[in-house]
Amino acid sequence: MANPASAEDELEATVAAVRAEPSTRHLLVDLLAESSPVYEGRGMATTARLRGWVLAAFEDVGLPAEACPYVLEELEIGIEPHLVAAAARAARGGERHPELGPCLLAAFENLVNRDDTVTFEAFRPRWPPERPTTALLEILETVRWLGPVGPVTAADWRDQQQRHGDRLSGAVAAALAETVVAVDGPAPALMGCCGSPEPSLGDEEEPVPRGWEGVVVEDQDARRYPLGSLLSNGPTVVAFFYTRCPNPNKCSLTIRQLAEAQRLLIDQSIDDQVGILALSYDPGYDGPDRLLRYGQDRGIRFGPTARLARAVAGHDQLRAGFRLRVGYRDTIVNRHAIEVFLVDSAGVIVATWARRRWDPAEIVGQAAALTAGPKVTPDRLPIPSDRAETGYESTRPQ
Amino acid sequence: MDAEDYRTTYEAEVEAAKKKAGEPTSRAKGGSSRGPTTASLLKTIRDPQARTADRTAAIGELSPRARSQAKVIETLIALLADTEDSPAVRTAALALLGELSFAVGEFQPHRSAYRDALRAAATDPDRKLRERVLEILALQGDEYAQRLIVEGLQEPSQALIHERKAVQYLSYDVHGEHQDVLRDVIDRSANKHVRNGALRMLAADSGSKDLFAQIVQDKDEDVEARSISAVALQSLAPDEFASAARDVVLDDDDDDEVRAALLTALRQDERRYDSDLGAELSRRQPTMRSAPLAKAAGAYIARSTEPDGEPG
Repeated sequence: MANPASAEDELEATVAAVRAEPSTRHLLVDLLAESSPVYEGRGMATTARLRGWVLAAFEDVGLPAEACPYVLEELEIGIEPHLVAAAARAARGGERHPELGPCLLAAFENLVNRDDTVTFEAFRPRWPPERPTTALLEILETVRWLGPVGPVTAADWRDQQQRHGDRLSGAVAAALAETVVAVDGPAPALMGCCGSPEPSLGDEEEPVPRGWEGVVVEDQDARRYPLGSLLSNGPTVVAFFYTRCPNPNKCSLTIRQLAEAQRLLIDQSIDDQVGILALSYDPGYDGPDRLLRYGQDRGIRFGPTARLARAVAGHDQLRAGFRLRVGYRDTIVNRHAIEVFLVDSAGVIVATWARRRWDPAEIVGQAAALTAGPKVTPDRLPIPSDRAETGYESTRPQ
Repeated sequence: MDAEDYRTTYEAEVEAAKKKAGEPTSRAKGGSSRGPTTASLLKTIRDPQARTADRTAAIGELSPRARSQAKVIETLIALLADTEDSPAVRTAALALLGELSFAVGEFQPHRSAYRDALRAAATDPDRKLRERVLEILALQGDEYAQRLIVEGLQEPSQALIHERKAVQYLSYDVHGEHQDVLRDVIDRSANKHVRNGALRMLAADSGSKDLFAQIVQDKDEDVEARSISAVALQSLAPDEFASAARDVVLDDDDDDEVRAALLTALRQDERRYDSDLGAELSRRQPTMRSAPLAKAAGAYIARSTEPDGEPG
């Protein structure tokens, strides 16, 4: 693991160099990847400060298309004030486009009870800052910068005034009033979408079957299977999550949406042909009992084609195979994206939904299109726990 | 003196006594209409020339209705952030703000300013005040507070709080990155309470299992440290624990108290039984000097005959 202090200094130096030469702004995009070495070993709060420093720089150096997914993600589902404020600033370095409006509205809703003073005046700021701001103030400034660009309108912001006015600080309330006026007008013609989507698995011209040999998973009933065997009987919707995730817009919502996808599959009578599998980023902590409770509390109906599981062998291979958007401090997640995959029975990842909120109906539609042939009864036997490979042991009596 | 005069005099004496003791008066409790108004209380609270006791009493006398008023909350927050004002008065303001912060709806418009004031007070000249402030911020997972605490552990001359408090506050955030700092504290601190506190905080950290294994087997280590490490290692890495514990148990030169504790822990692991260890203990038990060790050995040996035991 790189020395944390030196990695942090390198990040600061890189951002400073890009500020001095904005044409090199693409160098900052690499620093946004969750698995970037600069975040390895860092805690969640420090990771947020470092990412915020990178994001905020885009306001001044320009926002490249490749960075747009990160900005939209943070606005749509982020709850950390420093990061959301940085994303709002970053947006102002890019093009005005309609996709920003709904994300900014979502950001306001997410932060209305979480607003906090932030500052971008120094890499390691001290208090009290000379140039303080807040997440809500930055969001509203970006809304005013965006102007009356649909589909979000002044009426939506007036609705925010009515619903949340009594819990806003004086400064934010004034900024919101100013914003309502600023966006009250006819929307201009729609512009193009925000930059290019992030390259994802499933986009390749010739997707490669993933070899999952060596990956063994343990499900909520403490039964163990080779991952390949769980994927081989039909298309599978594979999502990643962990029970200690502090953001309700990420993992908790992901599992609830998987439950919704399961209901749609049941309604279409193809739940025995399409698998639902949620794998934990946190295999050392998310044992069977936790997996069981977490899934039940969010509506998952467990069965042969619907499981929550953790890797008890081959977690690194899993991480590499799915190119997971996750970073760790030792074994604890410090940052991750929403990510859901559709995997066919050959183990090929045919589609990816990452960073943004996803529609269960869309995924179910694509999964249904992959189903073909007669119903196949799952014929997988669990691995006896006394022959399991790693230090993880089944916590349930067999 | 008639009864009414006596009563009025008596009530005034009671109110004066309460005020002197810093207790809420009847007016503050919504009782008698006599007593200072919110405006006069705020005037006293804001006045740096007023007596400290009067100012802290005035904070205590604010009625429940007054406390939810924006101008009162703003006054208290400004007081907290003013590092040149009286620490005692600011501590009283902090205590009341802490209570008020639980009223989510009413306090929400002030929450950012409150956290700003907390951060400003985190480096306050008054040690007790900054301890309280840093604990509140640490409980909230505040990055600035964590950074200040870590800086203090890395450079003790800059420490804002005692090392033991620093270790405790860092442990509040399970997503924090304090593990390296805590391991450094364990490595260099001469204070066994601080070291043992840091060991407890690392108990769930898989990156520390080698450290725990080393401490368990180190005869020069503090007995409590070895016990803490044994418990942690057994949870994190049962196989490594069994191996390390076995070596200690069979070392007649090691501390008998530690040997007995480790043997008890080995016995409680229902999934394994070391028959070689059991046989060796059977041979040594008759000559064991320590009664607790002999008893623990006997209990371990007895596992070989239990119906659900699986001879290794």
